[in-house]
Formats: sequence, C-alpha cells, structure tokens
Amino acid sequence: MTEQENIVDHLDILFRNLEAGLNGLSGSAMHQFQLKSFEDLKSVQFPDKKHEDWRYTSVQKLIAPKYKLAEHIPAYSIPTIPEMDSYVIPVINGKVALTDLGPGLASLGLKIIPLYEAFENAEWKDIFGNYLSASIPTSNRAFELLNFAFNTNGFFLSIPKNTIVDLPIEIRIVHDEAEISFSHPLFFIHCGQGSQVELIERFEYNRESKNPSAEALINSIGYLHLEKNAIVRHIKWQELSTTHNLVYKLFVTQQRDSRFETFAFDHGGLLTRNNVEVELDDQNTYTSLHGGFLATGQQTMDHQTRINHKAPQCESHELYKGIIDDQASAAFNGKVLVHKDAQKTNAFQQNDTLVLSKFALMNSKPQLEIFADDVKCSHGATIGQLDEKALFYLMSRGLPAGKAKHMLKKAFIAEVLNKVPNENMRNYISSQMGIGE
Amino acid sequence: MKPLLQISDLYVSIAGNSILNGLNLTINKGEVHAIMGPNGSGKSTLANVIAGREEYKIESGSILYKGRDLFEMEVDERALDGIFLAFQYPVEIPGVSNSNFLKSTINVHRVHQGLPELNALEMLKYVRSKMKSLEMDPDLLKRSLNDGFSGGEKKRNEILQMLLLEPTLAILDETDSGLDIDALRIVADGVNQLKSSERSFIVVTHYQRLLAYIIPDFVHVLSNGKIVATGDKSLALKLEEEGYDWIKESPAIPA
Repeated sequence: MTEQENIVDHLDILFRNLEAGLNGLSGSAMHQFQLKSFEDLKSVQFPDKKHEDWRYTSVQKLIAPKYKLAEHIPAYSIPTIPEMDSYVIPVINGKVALTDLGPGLASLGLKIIPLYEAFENAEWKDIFGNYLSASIPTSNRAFELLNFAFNTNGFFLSIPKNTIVDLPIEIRIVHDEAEISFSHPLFFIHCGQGSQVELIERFEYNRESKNPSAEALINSIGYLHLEKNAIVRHIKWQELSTTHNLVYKLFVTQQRDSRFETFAFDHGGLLTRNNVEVELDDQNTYTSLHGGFLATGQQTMDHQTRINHKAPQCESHELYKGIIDDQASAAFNGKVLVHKDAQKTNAFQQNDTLVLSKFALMNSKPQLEIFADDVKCSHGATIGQLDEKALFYLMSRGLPAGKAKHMLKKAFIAEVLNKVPNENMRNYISSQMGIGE
Repeated sequence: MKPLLQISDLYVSIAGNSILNGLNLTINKGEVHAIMGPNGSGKSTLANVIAGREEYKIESGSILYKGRDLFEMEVDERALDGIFLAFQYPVEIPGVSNSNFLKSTINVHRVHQGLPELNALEMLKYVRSKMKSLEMDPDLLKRSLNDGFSGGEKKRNEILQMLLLEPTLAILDETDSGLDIDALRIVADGVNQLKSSERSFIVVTHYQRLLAYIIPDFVHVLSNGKIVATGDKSLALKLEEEGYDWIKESPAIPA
C-alpha cells in the first residue's frame, strides 16, 4: 500500500468507529455532511512541499496513520487570566461543553447551539451551510475536510443585530489524551449587523494533564461572518505542550463597513501551522492582522495569510513579527489579492523576523497580486539579528548582556503586543512569553 | 596618586584600517581633558574603545583604568565601574520605554554599589529633578528610548543619563555638535554640576565654543591617531583661529 492508502485505511477505521457511536444521528444532516467530507477527503491528497502554500513546512508527519480520536475527559485546568471577566466556552478534545456555559450569553440574547442542531438551523444554513456545500475539495483544504469528517461536537454562535457583547467571549481549546490522538475543534460565529464583540481563542495545555508527553494533533477551524457594520476584535493565544501540533484555520467574511482585527501570538507547540483567510465581500471594510511569535528548540511556526479584496474602498493591514532561536524554523507566506473591481484599496503588509541562531531558519514571502489600477499597496519583509549598536548602547549603561538582549527582544515583539486591545490579555501573553516586566 | 586612566602606546584598527597609532594619554582624578582634531583623526574611536565597542581591534598597547586592565572588562562592567560615554549618535530603540530603561540602568548601578533599588515613586522623583535641571519635557519619559527625539533631545537625554548615573569618568563624544547656544549652555551646566575632585571628563569636540562653558584643564590635538599637541584652554582658541594645518608641521609638544 502507498502512504496515502495507509492513511485512508486508518482514517476509514476511525470513521466507522465514529459512525458506530452516533446513536440515532446517523441520518442527520450533519452526518451526511461528515460522510460527504470524508469522501471528498479521500479524493484529495494531503499537501506536500510541492504545493505552493505548503512548501516551507512539511506536514507529512502530522498525517501519519497513528492517531485515535481523542475521547472525552471529565476535567481540565488552565490558568484564569488575572483580572479578566469573560464568557467562557470550553472546547475539550474537540467537543464543546455547552452544559458548562453560564447564563450570561443567553441573557444578552446570544444563541449558542451544537453543530448537529446548526445543520437544521435556517440561519446557519443560509450563511455557512450554502458556502460549505459550494466549496470544491482540493488538497489545500485537506485538513478542513479532515476536520469536517471527524468533528463530533462543534458549535454555532449567533450574535444578534446591534448587540454589544459586554465581556470578551473566551473559547478555551484544550486537548488531553493518554495515547497519540487528534481532535477537530470547529465553530461558526455569526456577528449580526452593527454587533460588537471581542473573541479570544486560547489553545493551552491542560495544567493537570496526566499525559503531558503524549503526541497530538489539534486541527482547529473557526468561521466568522461579519454582517454590515459589525466590529470584531479577535485574540488568539497558543501555548500548547511541546508534543502538541496545531493546524489552525480562521476563515473570515466581511460585509460592508465591518471591521475585523486579529492579534495572534504563538509560543508553545511543536509544529504550528496558522492559516488566516479573509474575504472582503463588500466595500469600506477595515481589516488588520497582527501576529507575534517566539520559536525555540525544535519548534516550527508557519503562518499563511490571505486577504481577498473583492470590493472597493477597503483597507487592510498586516504585521507579523517573530523571533526564532536554536534550531527552530518559521515561515510567513502572506497573500493580498486585489480584484479588478476593488478600486481605492489600501493594503499594507509587513513581516519582520529576528533570527538569533545560525541553526534557525526563516522563510518570508509577502505577496501582492493587484488587478485594479487605482490602489495603494505595499509589502515588505526584514530578517535580521539583534541590533549590535542597540545592544552596545544598553550595555554601556551597565545592563548585563542577558538583560539587554531581553529588552531588545521584548521591544521587537512590543510593536505587535502593544496593539492588543485587551490589557489583561496583553499582560498575560507577555508574561507567559517571558517578555513581561 | 595613581592616574584614573592611563593609555599607553595604543594601536587600534577597524576593518584593516589603522585608526589609533601609538596614542598616549594620562588622566588624573578631577581633570577635564578636551580632545580636538580634524575629522578622521580618531577622536570617536578613542571614545568608543574606552567604552568597549567590540568592532575595533586592539592591535597593541594598553589602557589601565583605576589600575585595572580595561580590556579585561566587559562593556557593562566598565559602565558599572564608572565609565560613561555620551554618544555622538545615540541609538533609537523603539519599544524600549525611556522610563523603563532609565529605571533599569539606575537600579543596576545601585545594586552594584550595594544600595537598595529605588521604587517607582522614588525613581520618578529622582529622574524628574534631573530632567528639570536640563529643561527637558517630562513627556520624553513616556516615549521609546530616543525614538523620534530631535537631535537636541537626544543629546540632553545622554546628559540626563550621565547626571543620573554619576560616573567617575565621563566621555562626551561631540555632544555639542548641532546644538544651539541655549542647548549648549544647558548641556554644559549639566557637566559643571557633576564636576568634582573625584570625577574626570574627556570632552571630544570640534569647536572651541563648548570649552567656553566647560573649562578644560588640558586640550589635546589628535591627528592621525596620536596626540600631536597638548596645551591649556588657550590651545583651543588658537585652533579656532588658525585651524589644524600648523599642527602637521610642528613636532609633538609634551604635556
């Protein structure tokens, strides 16, 4: 058997096990979708390094036929963010724990339902269902299809028109399993016209795990749809254990006058593959993507972003800054597409990286594809070491080399970290990343 | 009395070009030495070598500081032991706040001297008082270190650090260049505040102007990497009148 056949064979067994546990849901719309996704998955190959969007980081070892589907665990523990109040949505081993939600969200009029119910829900079908059924299976979407096939309990959250959510919504994504396993978190969030919300995704290791060294793949997908004039701030924080791998995708669609900002920080994990895709469907939208990462040891952090300017008068900003050391490697592959009708587009993209060890590797590829003729766009990348002159300056004032380097690293990430609009999260992230005061 | 700084027959090169060619200089406690000389004569190199800039290669010779081999000391160790360089071009460091930077440097000096660290309030009081004497805008504390500072603000920020750290040997590398006369007077006042019998200064400058405010005990002329003339403050006036051409023809005048 070929490697691909081995993988399919293995997934087949897992899929049949999954079906056996469906308890009457086997005829449901969701299961039909799982079945179709699995068939689609079998029709495509997982991407290898020949694929343009996957050339910097091999994901072959992530798809080896070795996983079991992570099972239910009764409890988890991750730190609370000091001084932060939030609406917590726990997603444990891919399953949303709806019974653990407080009454807060419902009292604001927000609706949250498990995915199998969403498949019967007109609102969900109208926005997300139709989109998904129209998507063509490709190798680039293999991890998505894997998620759809094996996701057992995602959720759909709907924020009604003109609702201002007073506290951040904190989605805690935790994976913990004794054996080699994967989980497939999946959520859909519909942000109604004029609504305003701050979303936090925390990928963290279970502090009370009995199996901290068990290898895992977390294959997570989030869909956000912003109606007209909606404002969404999104923060992603990743601190997984060093045996955990993350394939992450955030897919955002923006309607007219909406505003979306994301701040993504990666610190843990072994291999992290981040995909952020934003579709600007109508005019006068604002989008900003920020990322900061610290990769050490054997870590790999690969960032793929795509912003699709399909309408005029939209503005997008991108800034990713990373520090890589030891034998770590990282990549940034950002694409901004400006369609023919997207006149008066403003699009700016920048990626700056500090490479601190001669064994560390960075690949950076900021890309612009412009088909309109009246736009303002720029892109750039820098890769460098710590500034020797700055280091000398700090040391000439009596600061020891270690402290001076720390200050410079902190200053480098500060340009993105200082933009995080939530002070409690900002403090938490900087302290966890070891670049706090 | 042992000299504070003793430079003997110093040869220094950078990228294969020799810059200092057998330089000798002795500085005792409490003295102010002005170093003048044409562009490229090695003035800034001398300042940076004393502070410990690594890109310069020490070919031969020695520098003793308080009787210790200076080349055995790390950059931060030199600073903690009282050497301070006010940079000609202070580097901008976006993301490092000026106040945090000052706080860290002051406390690292205090800990080195066996003193307790200053808390945030004490620190603010201390820094503010020195800023006031330099007529500096307190808002500069909130900004990133030298980031977007005007030329004059950068130079004052250097003098501020000098006042806060109270060095034993302060080197001013063309601190006066590009300053208007008011700023120059403020900077000079800062230096004069610190003058004492225990503290020495090396003032590297192109212009006699500064030396009207900071009265030097010695004026040295550096040419081609060595000191070719030494005199008192009247030498600076002569240089201002006659330029450097006469130096090249005359033999070195002993101090």
